[in-house]
Amino acid sequence: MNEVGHFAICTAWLLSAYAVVFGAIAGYRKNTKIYLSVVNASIFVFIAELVAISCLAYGFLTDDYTNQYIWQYSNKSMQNIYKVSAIWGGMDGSMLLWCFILSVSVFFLARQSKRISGNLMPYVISIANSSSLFFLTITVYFTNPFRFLKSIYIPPDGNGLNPLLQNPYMAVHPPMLYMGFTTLAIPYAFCMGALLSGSLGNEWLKLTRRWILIAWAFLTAGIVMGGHWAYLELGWGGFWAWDPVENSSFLPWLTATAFLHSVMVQERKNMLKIWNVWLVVATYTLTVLGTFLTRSGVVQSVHAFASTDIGWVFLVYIGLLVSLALILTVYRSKSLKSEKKIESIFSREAAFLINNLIFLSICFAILWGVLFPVFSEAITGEKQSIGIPFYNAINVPLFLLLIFLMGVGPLIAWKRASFKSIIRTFLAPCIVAMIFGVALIAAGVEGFYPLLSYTLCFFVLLTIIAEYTRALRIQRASADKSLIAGSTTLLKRHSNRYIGYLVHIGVLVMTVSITASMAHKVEKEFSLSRNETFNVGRFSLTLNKVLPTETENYNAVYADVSVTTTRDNKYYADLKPEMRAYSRNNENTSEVALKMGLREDLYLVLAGINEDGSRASFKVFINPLQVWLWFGTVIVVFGTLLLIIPKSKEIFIDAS
Amino acid sequence: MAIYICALLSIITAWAVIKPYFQSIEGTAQFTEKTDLMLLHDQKNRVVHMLRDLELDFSTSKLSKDEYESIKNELSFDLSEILKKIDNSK
Repeated sequence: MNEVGHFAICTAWLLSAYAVVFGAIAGYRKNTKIYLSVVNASIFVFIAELVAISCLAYGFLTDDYTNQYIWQYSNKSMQNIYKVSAIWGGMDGSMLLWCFILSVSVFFLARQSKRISGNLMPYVISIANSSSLFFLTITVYFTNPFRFLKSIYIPPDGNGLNPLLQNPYMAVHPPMLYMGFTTLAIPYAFCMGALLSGSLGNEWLKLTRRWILIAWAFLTAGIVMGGHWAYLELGWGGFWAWDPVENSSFLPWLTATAFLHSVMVQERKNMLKIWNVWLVVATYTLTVLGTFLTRSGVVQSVHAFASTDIGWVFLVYIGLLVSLALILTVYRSKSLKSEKKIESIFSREAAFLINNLIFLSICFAILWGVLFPVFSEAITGEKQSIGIPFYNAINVPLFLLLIFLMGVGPLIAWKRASFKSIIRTFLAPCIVAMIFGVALIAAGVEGFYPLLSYTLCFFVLLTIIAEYTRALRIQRASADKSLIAGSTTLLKRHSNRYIGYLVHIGVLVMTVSITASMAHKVEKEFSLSRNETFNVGRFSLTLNKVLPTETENYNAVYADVSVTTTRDNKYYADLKPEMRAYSRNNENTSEVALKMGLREDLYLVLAGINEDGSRASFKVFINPLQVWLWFGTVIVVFGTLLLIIPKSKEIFIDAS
Repeated sequence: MAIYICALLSIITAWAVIKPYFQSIEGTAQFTEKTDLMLLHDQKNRVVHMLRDLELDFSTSKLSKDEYESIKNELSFDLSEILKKIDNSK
């Protein structure tokens, strides 16, 4: 099956190359036959890549150790789910996964394009396939997962997957993240297609909208899922460490979020055209940059793949992306001029622009932090890295400013509003929120940033509730409707606005959770002998026993710890943190024992055991409101998916 | 076995790519330029969208009556100009 897989990705490469060249020709010569041939080629890129990845999956599931990659990342004792997820356990397979998921997006784009008439689509298909072509070039020539094992005999068993990756979340996190990353190639294709074809009306924005929402939903879910994996597996009690690879996934999320807001200004006022073009270009470029950083060995990270020599290929591609965008925006500068200006600082347009500037500031700060070690090594010869304090010092105030703007947005009108009307709408939520802040201080909550965060989140929640209530009252009064009928009408007529507020509520839930788990986290180290108890927070932890265990894959020792509440000695949980030794990989891991709760997470790590097993050392974390981060993410992703669902017809009729 | 799968993939792929060159293109995607009329309708839709947002902003007390009427007059004027151009181009 190696031969079939290799043949399939070569076929995909040829088809992509054909689609890139002939797609552009079809657009230039307005030739429908060439266009339809290119559309079919794009569809068959997907089919060829499906064949390729199926061959690799088959090889993993049948333990085909004639394949170098399969031998390196699999062994017979692994469960089938991890044999399949081992496809993306290493560089080569993960690039193939990237290519495959990208081909899925291009497949749907190609199918969509058959229903759209106009000059735009041939260029869009061509550019989308150029993205496929680049990543297939990497796969075919540099990271081919179908290489034969260089050995005169076939080994009886493989090396096995890194134990840290043998986790259900790692089975889902990379595909989810790649769906976000690769789908971002489609808005980029629409943007470049619009510039190439000259179709610079808002048509490309309308066609792009659903794609960028899909990408954003997957990216959000993928990033948080990665944080969840880190929380469960790495044993340091946190979920985000501003790791370079984590940051690399966050950068395009920031610019994509900025675009989702500023695009509303272009749709209504035909402004910020060049700005939006460059946001889309930046988003896709940052995606490619992130892939470069993860795979080139330029940055050190627990998430990074092993260092390879493909970095220069990525840099050349990034150079081409930026150069092409620059040339086209200069060439089309006349058509990209804004028809109107922002009339007032007290307007929703201005609020969105400030929102964008903050997102870009955060993006720049993080990018600086990621690339600083590279620059410092180049200039001083010494690699100096930037740690968590830098990122928190810069980003916490900026994120809080964004939260504040989330509250401002619902209260401010388009075009312009007077200072008087703003005060009128702001006053009540402001006063109530300040009272809430004072109540928190009285309740003993400490710290400037935590207090500010909770107060701002409450303020934003009030503005959203006020907005819903006012609008609902108008709906029901104007048509004598029930609460449910009124809500439905409101959501149908102004879905973007009110479902957008639902997404904002999800963000508020996440913010409160992040604030609580960062600012009020309890962390203790202790050791216990059998039947000894340690008190932390509202819990008492008693060590019952320390026992060995083993499976086919690893040997382990676990500690059986009973948890009760200190106040009333009521049973709370049994926790069994483990220390594992994977003999095949010669790797040791620590398996966290976790009790999630609505109020807090109790997180226990077995740090060590003395020689005779009579005493064990532990690290315990109490993370307040941690679980709400995951709930908030579900709300955000759910709201975004609601935005993707096609709405009822617009009240106006298109000329066509 | 591998060689048969590769041959099958090649043949089907080649057929899919070459087929449109020998097909009739009636009823399939056509290349159309966006006419001035279509662009005017785009502008009209944009102004109608703005008017709808304006009604919502006023009804939810984000604007005073004076502000609302001032902006509404501007947008209504813009809309009437666009509608005149649409009528003239028909």
